[in-house]
Amino acid sequence: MNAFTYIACSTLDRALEALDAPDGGRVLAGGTDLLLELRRPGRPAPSRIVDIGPIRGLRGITIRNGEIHIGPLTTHADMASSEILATHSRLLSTAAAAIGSPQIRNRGTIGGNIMNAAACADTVPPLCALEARLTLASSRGTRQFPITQFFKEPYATFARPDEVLTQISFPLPPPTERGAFIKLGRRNAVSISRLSVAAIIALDPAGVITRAVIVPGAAFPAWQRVEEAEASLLGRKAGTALFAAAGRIVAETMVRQTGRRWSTEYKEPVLAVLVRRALEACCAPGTAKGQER
Amino acid sequence: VYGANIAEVDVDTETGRTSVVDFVSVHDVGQAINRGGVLGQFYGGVAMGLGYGLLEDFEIEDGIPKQLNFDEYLIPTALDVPRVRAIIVENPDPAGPYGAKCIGEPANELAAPAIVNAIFNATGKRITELPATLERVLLGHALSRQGLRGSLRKEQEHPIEASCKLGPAQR
Repeated sequence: MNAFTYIACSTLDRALEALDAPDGGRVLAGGTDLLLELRRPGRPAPSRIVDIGPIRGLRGITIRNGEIHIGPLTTHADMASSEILATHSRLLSTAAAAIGSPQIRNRGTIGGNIMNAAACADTVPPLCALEARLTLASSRGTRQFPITQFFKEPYATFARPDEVLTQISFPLPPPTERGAFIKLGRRNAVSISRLSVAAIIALDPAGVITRAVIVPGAAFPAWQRVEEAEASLLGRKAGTALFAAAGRIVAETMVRQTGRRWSTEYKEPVLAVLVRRALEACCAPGTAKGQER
Repeated sequence: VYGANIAEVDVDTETGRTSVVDFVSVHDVGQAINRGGVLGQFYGGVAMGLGYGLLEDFEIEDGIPKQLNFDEYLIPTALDVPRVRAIIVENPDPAGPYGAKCIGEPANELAAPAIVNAIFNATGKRITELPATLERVLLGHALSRQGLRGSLRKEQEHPIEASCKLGPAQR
């Protein structure tokens, strides 16, 4: 690990000032990604690390004006135990609870999960499904992104190096909507998503689907809703055969976008299955398991 | 020395995900000198054998190991190891110290075969190469990728696979 300047910031203004420098800097939140990166041999080391951990007001989950707001320093453990998320967007707290181990969930933050932008970042598919909006700040002002327009490809976002993520917001989901998050890993903890699916379904009293959202994780070059599959569900009665067909559309879409790769033989059939299961879990929330075991 | 292991597994036939849900381990240890120590060998042996059977993949390409870190070389966590019902059979051996035989190696050796036999019992498919990964159980064969792996792969490979193998979100 090379030498760098460490700047602990107790206010956002101080952090933005520290990042507004020609030699740039890297933002440190929980450190569960950044510290590994710093230790990796042969990587150009950042000259300064700007620690936003001490900033007050960037951590916590609140409801204001019909929206849920999450501070970027909110840890995965905070989200996993949040009453607000458990009540209104359980797919997000389920995803947070499926990350790593207790130690990692106590350190790692939702902001870090988004900004690091690994394809297997477990909180991102639910946030895309919830139509989250990201607020970024720099010394030049703030700007907002719909989360699905924030990622270029794995590990690359449209954030500038001088920007700090300051808020994650999404509309309070109506009570008629049911969400689910399903993750497939190789073991039961400290497990990297091989594939995941976030889904939201709204049914009318007759059991007809009025809204459908499907966002796979670790499948596409950048997270996206699979609109063709979503459209195939609208106006139809919820059921296993319908959900299986939607799953096949998602898998076909993945293959069309990524091409046939070494992992496609496995991922193509399994993604279709996970989509079907996520949609089924939406319709049976009492029995929905958050994680494939 | 004689021993037997019995594994009960759940196999998700749509994803290949295999979980060991119950386990019986029986060994003739000769005279058990320290009962707690003997049981520790039973439990540790099963946990290690479960890793051998389901998770621990070690490949060498041109003399270079492909798995370079514990992000790729997966060992079982506490949540992956089931209850182990240990049955000690005491059959003292006059040639052994205080009548003891052994329990280090045997405790480990039988677990992986028991697990893959249980997979066969559940699915009718024979796993002939370890570990019984998602791909081997679902497809009947492993999938191999080319190029650098583990911590070196981030910049070198396809971005989806690379970022997921590194798994920063999980650390």
